[in-house]
Amino acid sequence: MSSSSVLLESYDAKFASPRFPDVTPSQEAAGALPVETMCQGSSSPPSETVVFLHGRVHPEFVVEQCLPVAIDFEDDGTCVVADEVFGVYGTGPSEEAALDDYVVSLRDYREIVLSEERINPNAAPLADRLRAYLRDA
Amino acid sequence: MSPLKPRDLERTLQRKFGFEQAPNKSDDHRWYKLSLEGIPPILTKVSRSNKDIGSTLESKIAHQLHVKPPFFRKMFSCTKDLEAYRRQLLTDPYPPFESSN
Repeated sequence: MSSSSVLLESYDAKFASPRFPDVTPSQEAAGALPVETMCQGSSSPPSETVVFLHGRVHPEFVVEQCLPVAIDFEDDGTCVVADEVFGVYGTGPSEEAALDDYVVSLRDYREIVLSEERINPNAAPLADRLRAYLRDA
Repeated sequence: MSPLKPRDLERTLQRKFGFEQAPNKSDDHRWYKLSLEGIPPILTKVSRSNKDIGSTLESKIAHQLHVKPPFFRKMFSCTKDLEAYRRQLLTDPYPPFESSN
């Protein structure tokens, strides 16, 4: 993609879907939920688009600190999105599908890290960082 | 190196590097974890698709494994073993654990 900044207007439908019944486009317009984005100051390569996730992106958790997510494409058109904090990624035939996959992966990642923290002290800093970004919905 | 298939990636992660499958809810992918002394747990996701892993995705998986893509390729083309990987994580992880974890 040539642009390095984007508004996630195309994802309004996703976040207003039955999966997020309490989220409406007007709420988004008011800045309440869930995603607003710009990529000013991003350190990503110019071929990537970076968006910032914020708010209730999944029924189980809320993103409290803006989470930068880079959107890129394979040569075959597969979209690959990945955050720049935890390295979680998602893929799909479209940006929306890849973001859906990303959010599901982020949920799994969160559960695994928080569970790992109980048995592995080396996981504590990672779990702390996760809690700084995500909290239960 | 020819493109990796997800199942080859999974097999090598488990058999060569000792990754264990971590419980997750999704049917579309599996998570693997590796716990090594003195290092935060390494977590990586592998799709259940049969598609080749492209270069963009490869770099994301390398990132999860905390190595650069050239090292990643050597891990899967047999020239880097678990000991070499462990040493790499201890001496020169990329991204560093401080900034990524």
